[in-house]
Amino acid sequence: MLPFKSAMMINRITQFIILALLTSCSLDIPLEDQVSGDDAIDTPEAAREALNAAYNSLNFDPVNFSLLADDFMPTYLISRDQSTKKFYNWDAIELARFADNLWSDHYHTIAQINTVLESKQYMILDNEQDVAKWEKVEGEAYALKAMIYQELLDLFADNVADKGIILKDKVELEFLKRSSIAACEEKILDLLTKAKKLLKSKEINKNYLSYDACLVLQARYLLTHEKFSDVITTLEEITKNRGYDGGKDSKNYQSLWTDKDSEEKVFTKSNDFLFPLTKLIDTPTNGDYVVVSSSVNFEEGDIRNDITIIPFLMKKNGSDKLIRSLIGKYRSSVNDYEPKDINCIRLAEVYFIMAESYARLNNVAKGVAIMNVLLENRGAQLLDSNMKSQQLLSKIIEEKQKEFVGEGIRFYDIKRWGMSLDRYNVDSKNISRTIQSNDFRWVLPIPISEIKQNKEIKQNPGWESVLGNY
Amino acid sequence: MEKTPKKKVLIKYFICIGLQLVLFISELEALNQVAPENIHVIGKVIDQNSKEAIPGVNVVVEGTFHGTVTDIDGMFSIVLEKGKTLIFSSIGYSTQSHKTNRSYLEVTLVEQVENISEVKVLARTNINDIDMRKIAGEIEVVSVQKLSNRPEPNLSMLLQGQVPGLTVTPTGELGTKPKVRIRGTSSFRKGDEANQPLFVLDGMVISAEAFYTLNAEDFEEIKVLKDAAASALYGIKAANGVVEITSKRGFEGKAQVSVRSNTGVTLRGPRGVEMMNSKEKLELERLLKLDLSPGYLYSEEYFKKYYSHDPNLDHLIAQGHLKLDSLRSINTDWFNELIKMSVYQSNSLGVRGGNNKSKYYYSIKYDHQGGRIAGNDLNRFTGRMNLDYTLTPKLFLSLNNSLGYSITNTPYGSSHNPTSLVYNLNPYEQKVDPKTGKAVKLYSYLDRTFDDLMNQYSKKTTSKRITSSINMNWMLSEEMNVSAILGFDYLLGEMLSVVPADAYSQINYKDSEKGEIKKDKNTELNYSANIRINYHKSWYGHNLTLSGNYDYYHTGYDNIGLTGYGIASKVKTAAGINQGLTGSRKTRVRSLKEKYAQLGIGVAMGYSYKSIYDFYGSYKNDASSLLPSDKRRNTAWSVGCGWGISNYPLLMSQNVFSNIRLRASYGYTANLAGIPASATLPTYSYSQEIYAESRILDLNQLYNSDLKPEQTKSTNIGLSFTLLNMLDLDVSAYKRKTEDALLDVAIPASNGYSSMNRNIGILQNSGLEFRLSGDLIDKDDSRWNSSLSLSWNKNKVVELYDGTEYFSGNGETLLPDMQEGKPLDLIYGLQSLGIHSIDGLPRYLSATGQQIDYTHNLRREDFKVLGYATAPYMGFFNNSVRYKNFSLNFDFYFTFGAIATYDRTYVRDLSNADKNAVKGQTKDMWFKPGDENKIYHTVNVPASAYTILDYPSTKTTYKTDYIKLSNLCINYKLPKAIIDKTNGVIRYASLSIQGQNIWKFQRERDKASLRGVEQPIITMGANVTF
Repeated sequence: MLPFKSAMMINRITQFIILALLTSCSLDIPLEDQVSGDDAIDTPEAAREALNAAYNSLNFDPVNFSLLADDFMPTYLISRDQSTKKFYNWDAIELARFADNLWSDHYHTIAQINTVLESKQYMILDNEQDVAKWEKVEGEAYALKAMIYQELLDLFADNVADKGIILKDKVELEFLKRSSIAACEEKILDLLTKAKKLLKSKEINKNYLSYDACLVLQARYLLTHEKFSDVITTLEEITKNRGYDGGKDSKNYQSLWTDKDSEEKVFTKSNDFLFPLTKLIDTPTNGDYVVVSSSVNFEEGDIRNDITIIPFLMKKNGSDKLIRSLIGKYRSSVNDYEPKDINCIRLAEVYFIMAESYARLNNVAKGVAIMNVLLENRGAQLLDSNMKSQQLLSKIIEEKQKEFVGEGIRFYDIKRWGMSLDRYNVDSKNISRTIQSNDFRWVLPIPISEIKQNKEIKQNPGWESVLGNY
Repeated sequence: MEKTPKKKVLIKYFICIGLQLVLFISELEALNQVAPENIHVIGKVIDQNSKEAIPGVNVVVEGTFHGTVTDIDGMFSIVLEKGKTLIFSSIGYSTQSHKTNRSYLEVTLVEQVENISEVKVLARTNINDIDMRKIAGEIEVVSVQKLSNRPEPNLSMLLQGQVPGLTVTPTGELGTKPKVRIRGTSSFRKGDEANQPLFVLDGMVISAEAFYTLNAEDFEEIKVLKDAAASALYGIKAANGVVEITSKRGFEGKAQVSVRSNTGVTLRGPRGVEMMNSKEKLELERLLKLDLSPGYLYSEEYFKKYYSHDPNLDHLIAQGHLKLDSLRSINTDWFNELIKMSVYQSNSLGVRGGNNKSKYYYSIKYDHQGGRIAGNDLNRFTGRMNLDYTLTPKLFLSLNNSLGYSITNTPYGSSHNPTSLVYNLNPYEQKVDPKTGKAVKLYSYLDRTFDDLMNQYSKKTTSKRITSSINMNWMLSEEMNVSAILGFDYLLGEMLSVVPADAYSQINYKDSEKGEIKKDKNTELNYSANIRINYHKSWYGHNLTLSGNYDYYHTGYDNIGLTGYGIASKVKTAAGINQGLTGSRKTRVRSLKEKYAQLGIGVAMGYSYKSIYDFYGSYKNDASSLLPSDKRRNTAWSVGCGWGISNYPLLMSQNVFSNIRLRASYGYTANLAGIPASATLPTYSYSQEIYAESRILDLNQLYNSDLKPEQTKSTNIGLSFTLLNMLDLDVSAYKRKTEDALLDVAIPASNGYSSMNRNIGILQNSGLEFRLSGDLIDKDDSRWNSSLSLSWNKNKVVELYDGTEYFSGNGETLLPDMQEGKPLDLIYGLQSLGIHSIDGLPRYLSATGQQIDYTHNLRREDFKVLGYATAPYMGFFNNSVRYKNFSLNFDFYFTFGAIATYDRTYVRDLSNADKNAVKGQTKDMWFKPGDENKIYHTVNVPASAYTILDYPSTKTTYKTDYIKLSNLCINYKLPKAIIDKTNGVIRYASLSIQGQNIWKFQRERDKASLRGVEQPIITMGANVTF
């Protein structure tokens, strides 16, 4: 027989164990710091946060395309970073690596945009404010997608074989073909039209794409298709409302390179994390891998000079120190490492696109006039209205490089204008090689990761033999 | 949904433990009454050969959990029903049973070191360890006793070379978890989550992290369950096998105190790579024309090229010569400068004892192990308390509590590894100028001095662990018992890493922004509960066991971390962070909170007829909260049979073969280990970054709504027998097939993500394991026991669902990563013809027998199989020799059959020749046309040649086969005469010297890598029992 106390205890233990075993058996444990399920995004607020992910992942790096173009010339320090040096010299493998990142990043952003667009069916819109909020998100999503498609098309499209890019609409695993260039362009225009409709007269935040940004994107497209008068009508919508007021104005120009608000900003990528010029800098004491190209010279009184160029005493191979022109955009001094918002679309471009269109339409007077509005604002020498259209064009090309040096725009212009491109030796004005306008490298290679996993995709011409099976 | 079920249960648990502890004490008195029909038996257990007493023998009343353990003098005392049988078992001895009708028993046990699968341990410590598993299952038992002497604080590493089919691979620096695998990897997925076995401590599931920090001295034995029949009881978690650990318990008798101390040194070990001296290095720099290195900067060529018009040219050249001469005269051996010998220390104290109602085991241990370089060490403190209570003759209760505290200091950061400085610093560089005493600027790290490389980073990780479990066994009747375990395992891990404000990496920041502090606090709480009912019935030689169980596991992670910048001058903790900073130097906070649970129900059945015919079957159904509700339930089942051939009366009379046993089993497990919910459902999380001052909600990964669990089907056949009562032979063969094998596979980048979890194919592992063991010498005062094992494992991709080949994303495109019908880890390569003397680039032999170079369009046929990346063969040869009071253990461990590609890290090219290079590179590298018989190709490689250079070739691979003396230990037991002089204060004492990794033979060495370099440890120890 068991003693009484013992029996009690056994009872208690057994009860306790059985109780402990049988409690807490539910397996529906929700995630605590994540959101899960098909309908995870069901409010305009969540959709905005999801679209922020797309904006944030947007691969817009002003430095890379400037290195590829002729905005910069290399210094002796570039030997310290072999991959940057090879990239400057258009080394095929470095370009392929760059193209791989760009392609993956852009399609990643597209996937993030698609999650927002797919969430439309689950969206709970209770009132007009919610509807307006959602329309703005949806419109921006279309605009951002159009912007990325446009860039991908500029870089990867193979005109000869009429292979455009992959148009992707679903957040799921697909093995898609490259659409024809016409289909891609139609898609881009369709996206922009939808975006414009949804974004018309919506509140403006410079970190988000707006109606005006859509107009610039559309104008870029029209310009490549030489529809010059359409360009002008499109952009006049902007210059009418928010053009330069006339007279020199350094405040708005200076604010462009800081996080401060500027009338000139049309779309800037919010950036709190990375200093935009990191890739160019060796150390603040040694200097940069590159200096601003010797063809970029500002006149006395040009407000852009102090922003664009930091004069810096720097060593040179086998000789004494020299004052060099380091790029000054996004930094106030060589010791300034603060991350800053990155300009993707700004007002000056509107004027250059318009001026170019007038010039191509042989309307020199109007072209000079619109250039002079900008030049006056910058405190630069004004153009003579008696020049020929060809002269005006070359002036536009020169001025556009000065305005946008270090911002990557030059690469697309050189490609569009069919110019050749010179590469320089380290610390010298000697040309080491020239990239001809018909060089196959102007069309970037489709990443190996795409080709290998997707049997529908073929490599762009010229690359297979150079890269081998890289 | 209950709000906080876990907390509630824990509180209940604590209250109950508290209450019951109080009750036990008062009630122990009441329990002293003994049923009148009982008999009190005392006795002694001795070794048949040595006639010495055997302590720690389990003495159990047959068919019950009632029992005791012999004390240090081999004595036991037990009260039981008259006429019942006592079972005597101890590891290393064959089990015996004795009827009790006398009150004194002398039992002689026969040593049987290797046939340990027969051992029966008190079932109460692990409730899943039910006897019937052994009928057909592949279970290996390792006695921890003989391993715990070794100077190795890591329990996992002790298992290396102890069990055929179990591989343990160290993963790196001190304090990191080794890679443990049973019978190869059954998944395409790499990493521990998908491939490591399940660890079970006294019936409770614990994490792999908790396992490797356990104190080996606290454990009696480790069981390794290799096939489905053995491990299916654990359900879907056990797809990769199970490692069960049984702790030491107290015993009935006078308290036994043992003190053990080990002190020693960790030697520097081999160099790994021979590097250049100053002369050779400077010459290399000159030949490479490296702008920023002294070998070229001070050379005649340099001055002639850049100062050709300088009027002082001759003077400059002369100055350059002087400078070079002075550099050549410096030859710093950075290996000796940086790598230090370090101290190993281990001290422990254990107390065990008890009476017939309660038994106890307490222990504490402190370990200290120093690392290769200054600032790297590991300190660990562990404590354990195991209590066993016999509440009534039918109810037993155990409490197991343990705690561990460890601190690891390392100067290694993700971007900073001081060990690499040994190979990066140039021999002509110095810490300080011996004349001026001032720091010298380095060439290998421009603009820095040696001081700018040291003290750049420090990391301290501490881990605190508490494990507690309550374990109950209740004999409901002769045939039926109920057992249950409830326990929790709590881990608190903390990490603090500091980049000091004066570190070189901080040079570009403002003073207020200098320095970086990272602090993480991670908690993990595992709660587990398991209740099992066993029914056992015997009649006329038939034995039937039925068992059912219900278990529940709950795991919760709660992690928080922060990164901040701008360290205060006096404080190096989170309090020192400058929180006023913005932009990239803003303080950032991380968090992870996750919970998941698994609920399972299982049944098992075992039947045996006269130990000749045995059958076994088990079924378990588990549901996991990680999966969507429609995919939640997964099953694991197994069947097995055994055939005890030697138990036929006919065969029992002969002595040539004995203990002949054939086993066969088949099992199925569905497994989704390591797959997060976000792989099957759209899952978003908030990023730490912000955009335009608002939050970012990002999709974690591209989800696959069609994902299925991996299905592992395994077959095992085993044979074991004893030859001439002397040699034990154990052979087993297995095949394990994983269907719907999962992998995070590369997908076209246009999908926006680079990879997705998919079921891609079928993988099969098959292998053979063989072990021969026995006594080579067995005399009165001398004995040599030896055990030789060899195992072979081979895997094969049986099928790929999408085509016959799989290519991962960014690799080369000619050769697939996986191919149907081929093993997973084949290395393909080209037949090399060496470096061509004209252009300095290698030539190869094509499929058609042509000599080819990089311009050749390579085809598949040009490649041949060079070998396997993981060794298919491994084995051990463990020996234990005893002569009088001396004993010697020496264990060899070997692997063979694999190849590896030479690591060319220290063969420098233009991009890294500012660092020191491997000895002989100057001689063996091609520099100019006409250089014959070179090993290394030119540094001027055309872009399109990189592809062909990246492929392994017959000249760039080597065999990794090695054999090492993993352990050597000499032990001297103090003779009885001396012990007797202490008047019984000391009961046992021994002295020992151990060495680990002191010898290693490699068939071929990697020319330029630290791979496979293990540091020898030599220690001296003393062990005293009071």
